Amino acid sequence: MNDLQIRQMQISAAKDEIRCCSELNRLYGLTLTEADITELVELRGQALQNTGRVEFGGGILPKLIRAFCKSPYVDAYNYTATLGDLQDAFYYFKNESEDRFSDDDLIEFMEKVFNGPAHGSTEVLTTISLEELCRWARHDFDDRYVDEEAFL
Amino acid sequence: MNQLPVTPLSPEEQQRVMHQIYVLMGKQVESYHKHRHMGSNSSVPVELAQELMESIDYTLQLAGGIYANTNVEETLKIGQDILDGKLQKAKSLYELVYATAPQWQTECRWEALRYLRHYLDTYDHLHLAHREPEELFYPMLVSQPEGIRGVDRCIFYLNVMWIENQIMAGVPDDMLELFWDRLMPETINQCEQLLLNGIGKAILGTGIHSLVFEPEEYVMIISALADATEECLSDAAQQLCQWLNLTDENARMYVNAIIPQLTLRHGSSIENLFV
Repeated sequence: MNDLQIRQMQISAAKDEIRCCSELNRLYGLTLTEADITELVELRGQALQNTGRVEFGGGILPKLIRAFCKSPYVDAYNYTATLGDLQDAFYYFKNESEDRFSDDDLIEFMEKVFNGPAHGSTEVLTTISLEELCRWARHDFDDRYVDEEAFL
Repeated sequence: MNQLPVTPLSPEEQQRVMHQIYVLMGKQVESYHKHRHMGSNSSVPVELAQELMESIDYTLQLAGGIYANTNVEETLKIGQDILDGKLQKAKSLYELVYATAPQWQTECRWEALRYLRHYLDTYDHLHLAHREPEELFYPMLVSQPEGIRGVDRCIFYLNVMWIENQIMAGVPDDMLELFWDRLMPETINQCEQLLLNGIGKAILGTGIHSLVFEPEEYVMIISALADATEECLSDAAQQLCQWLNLTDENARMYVNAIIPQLTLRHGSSIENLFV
């Protein structure tokens, strides 16, 4: 199987799975157009390449959509851009944590930080919370060890 | 994938197989993480993906190749079952080798056994089947066959050690003790040293009540080896097999394999060959 064939399969699978989330998006007043989906899938390819990772199936975007569509900090205007940034952050953290966190654990952590101390800023999430990520890892995700002041 | 189908595949068939492998890779990634209690992970580092792909390739080859069956996943399952059988065989062989290991064996040999145990304990035949034990520090008299991969390499090492154990079992412990840390510069390991001395003694016809050479025997073996024909050396090897009570055909072949090496070393210093 050559790279092009793999890439085509990845793109096709990823788009299909994102389309499956349209009903959920609608519940929260959000939409992803075909152009948005194409953009996000292209960003995903870049993020994977930048982080030296390979993904099979639909990718992480459907999970990110399910976790972040209900965030008070996303709206119809910033939704696509936010998902793109979260996707970048996700793969970055995945590498930084050396895969010690499952996808779900990592997304849960990102969601807490994004909706909490980061106040919806993906920039804050990517620049500040890495150290906290390690701290959470050391303390086994125990909320007692989360120092919210460190994020401000 | 190295194996090509007998008849060329149509573009549609190629596409179908490629898609099956893609889906299979996704399942293998998921299974890999589940196996290690790492939860759900949709992505992996490129290096790991390459290893998982190599493992699939290796496993499919065992089951006849990627085109052996219309369903690649089924072929993989057959390959995994074959590997499971090999792994069980390797573990049994390890137990046998460990249980029959001579008391007087070098630390290097013990280390090799410990390493093979660790390899078998951590070998993941479902996801990283292509991984093989590294070259052992313990030198062996026979080099491994070309292209031997995965757990087969471990089985090869264990088979050789099992043969060596049988040879060393034919020598009383107190006699073996004399050899365990006395390797001559040109010998490869303890077992070879024992065989060389044994064949030397057989050539001299002095029996193996003592395998260590006396000073006067060095003089005798020099002239005996100078005149020895290949037939004479072969007879000496047979004599040694009898002395050691070797019934296993592989072990007897192993002893015979020493002969060409002895002939090759004919020109080297005898003092560097026999203890």
